Amino acid sequence: MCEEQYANDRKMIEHYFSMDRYEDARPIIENLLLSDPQDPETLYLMGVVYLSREQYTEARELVQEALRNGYNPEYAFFFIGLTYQEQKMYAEAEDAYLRSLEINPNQANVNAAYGYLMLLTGHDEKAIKLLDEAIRIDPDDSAVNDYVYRFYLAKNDGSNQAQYLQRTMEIARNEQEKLINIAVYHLVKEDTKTAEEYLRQLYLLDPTNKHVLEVLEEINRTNHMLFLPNRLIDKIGGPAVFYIGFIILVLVLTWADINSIAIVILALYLITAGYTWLAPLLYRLFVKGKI
Amino acid sequence: MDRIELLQSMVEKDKSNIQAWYMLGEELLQQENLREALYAFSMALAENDYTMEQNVIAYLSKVFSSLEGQSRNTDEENAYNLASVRHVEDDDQPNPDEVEKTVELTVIHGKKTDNISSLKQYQPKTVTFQDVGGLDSLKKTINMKIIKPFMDPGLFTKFRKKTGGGILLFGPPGCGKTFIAKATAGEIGANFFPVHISDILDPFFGQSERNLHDVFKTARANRPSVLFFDEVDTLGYSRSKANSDIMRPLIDSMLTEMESIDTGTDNLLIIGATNMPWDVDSAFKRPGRFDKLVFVPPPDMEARQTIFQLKLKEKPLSSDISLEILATKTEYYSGADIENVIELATENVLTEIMETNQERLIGMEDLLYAIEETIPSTLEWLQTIKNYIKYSNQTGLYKEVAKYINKVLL
Amino acid sequence: MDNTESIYEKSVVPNTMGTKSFNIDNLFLVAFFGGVIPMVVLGAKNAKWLNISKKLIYMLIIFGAALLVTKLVFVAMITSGSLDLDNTTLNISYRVGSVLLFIAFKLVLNKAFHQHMVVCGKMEALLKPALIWIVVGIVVEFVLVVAVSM
Repeated sequence: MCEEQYANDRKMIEHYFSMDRYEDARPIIENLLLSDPQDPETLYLMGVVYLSREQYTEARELVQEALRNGYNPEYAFFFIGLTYQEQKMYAEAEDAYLRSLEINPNQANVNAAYGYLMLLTGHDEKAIKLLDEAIRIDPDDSAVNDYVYRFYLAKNDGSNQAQYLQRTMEIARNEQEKLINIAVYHLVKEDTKTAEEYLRQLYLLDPTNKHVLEVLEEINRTNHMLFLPNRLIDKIGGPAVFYIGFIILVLVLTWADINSIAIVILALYLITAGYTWLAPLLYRLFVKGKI
Repeated sequence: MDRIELLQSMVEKDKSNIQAWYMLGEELLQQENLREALYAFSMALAENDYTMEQNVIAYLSKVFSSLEGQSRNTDEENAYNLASVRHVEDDDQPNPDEVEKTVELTVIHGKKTDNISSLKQYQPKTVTFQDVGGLDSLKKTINMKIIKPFMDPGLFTKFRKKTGGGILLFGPPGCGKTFIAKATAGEIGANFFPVHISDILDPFFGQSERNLHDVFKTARANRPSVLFFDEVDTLGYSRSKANSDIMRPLIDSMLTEMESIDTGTDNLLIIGATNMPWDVDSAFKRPGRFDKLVFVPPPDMEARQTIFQLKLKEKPLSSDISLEILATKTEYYSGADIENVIELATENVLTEIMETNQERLIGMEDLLYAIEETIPSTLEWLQTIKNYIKYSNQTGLYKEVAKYINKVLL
Repeated sequence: MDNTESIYEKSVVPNTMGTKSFNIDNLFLVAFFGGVIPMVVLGAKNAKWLNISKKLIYMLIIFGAALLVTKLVFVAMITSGSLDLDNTTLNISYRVGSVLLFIAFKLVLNKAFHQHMVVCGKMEALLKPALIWIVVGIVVEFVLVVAVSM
């Protein structure tokens, strides 16, 4: 294949990748592999396509092949670490990240990914150290800031959450990233109304995103009128508080010898509790079944 | 270094080296790079050298006469002569009322538009709405929104109705957006120039924008013409979604080019097609750009019958085939899906023949079984757009789709 | 730099799994219907999944065991006639105790559950193990109550 054609194909692949359209890039990559099945760059690109399909083992094998053929080991080990992490093979993921960092410890994104792995595996102190190191290396990397932001979300650290949310908004690569981060912020705060609005905007930017649709549908479901009693019970502290409140009320009424009201309260409790159990079934029957 | 590169370096060093220009022209023509070849030949003639002129004429005559011969061999009309080129479109659909026109071939300077004016483009066939089975409502919409304003802008001006701007065809994949665009070009008797992002994109800085400019220039030079941008979302991808700013200059160039068109005087119509209208940058949907959105739905009953008829034409069929039943059973199937059904049925019959050694024809049952084994690929798209309309809280740009979905899906 | 050197040493032991969790709010139903035994079993399992310290898990198990033993002591005393208390009061008190045990588990698990939901976002299905352990709990409690009543 002539160099000009190769450069054009690479440009097309880069273009499709920039739009997250990995499947569109696939035929071009396959074509490049036909003319040179050993080309490390092309093997790596095919690995990215498989990663996007969530076929992690195949993705890893392709990048391992690329590595054997001379692909940059820093990037290859980082990629391999990501695939292991997605498969919850955390020890193997750590090995891969460490090999990448051994070659070049100044990779902000690898430090951040490794830090996040530490959070996943319960090494919180090491996690924050690695994330701090990543921020020190490249404070303007959007992926690094995303990891730090997610760390503080997980730790429910309000002030740092707000600070890193603002930071991610400033350096996000596109509108989608901003909307995701702000929607997640409100979801974690259980402010579903605001989260829904951001998710709605996010969905309109990419209606093929099934994950966003799932969350939106779940919010729609829980916000439905049928779940109003469930929401009220959650507002007062959940079923346990509701139950204990009921017991105390009935005991007080019985002690005060107002049995008739105690019986009404008991009946109301049983009806409400029974309804909250039946609500999901009613929703499936009358709302979902309608569609 | 290959021969072309060698010759290119020679002419770069000495632009008056007409021998090198001539040889470069020969090489480029052999690679079917007509546009650059003609440029090289014209440079070879720049010195007014009589011998060179004779050489060029002799060589080009030889090449084009061999092409004419090839064209006759395939029972098609003569597509070329040196001064004029009859430009028509390729398609595998039947063509009962072939419309042909003669336009002047213009050589445009630039590097990468070989796909626009290459030899492959000049295949003698054209299509009109008569070749599109069914879809009457769509044809009527296109007639009102596109063809009439294009053909008779005066009437619209009289009633102060704005004309101009491009048309964005959108709908599920495989439902014939390209074919509709070709037929539209056929209806207005215009040359059809299909353009894909791969024709534009170039790794060298600024070259993509130049390629885009050349595309518009070529279309203008061959007017009346329809410039058709397939998968326009990949060219005008939403800037709020892109992971990098690398495409911004190209998008800006595209917007500028579109704005510079005056449909009335330029006789140039821009049609875009996309499966993902939500990915097209909102700037493209503003007045003067792709301001008319036309929904191309999955083929209706009549269209499906036509597609079955065409695709089954060459197959060995039993006499029990009912196109009407097949069309009824394939609601929401795209043209590509129907083709897939026929392929599957054919494969099944072939497998059976190989296993039993008893030859037989493709029957109705084979096709019905293949239909049962497949699901229409358009459903996912329709579900997506249905959710899109639901969450956008308004039908807005997608009024036609909402109407279609309400009619057929609910 | 000593600080950075230490962070590039291996920390994850082989076969380390990520966190898992039931919907801890739904453990209330387990405590309410099943009593102490299923609550302790499923609560402790959930706590282990969320990497809660063993010390805290043991404390919760001891709390649950104490509740059960208290109930059995009261049953024995009622049966022997040394305590004048009707069965309804005992059952309501035991149920309230089970719900308090649930609240104790929730308080311990809450933070880790929040972290799990942010980083993982998935919950394990509770219905099947809950039904099994509720039945087991009721049967075991019945056997114990009969045993101490005799």
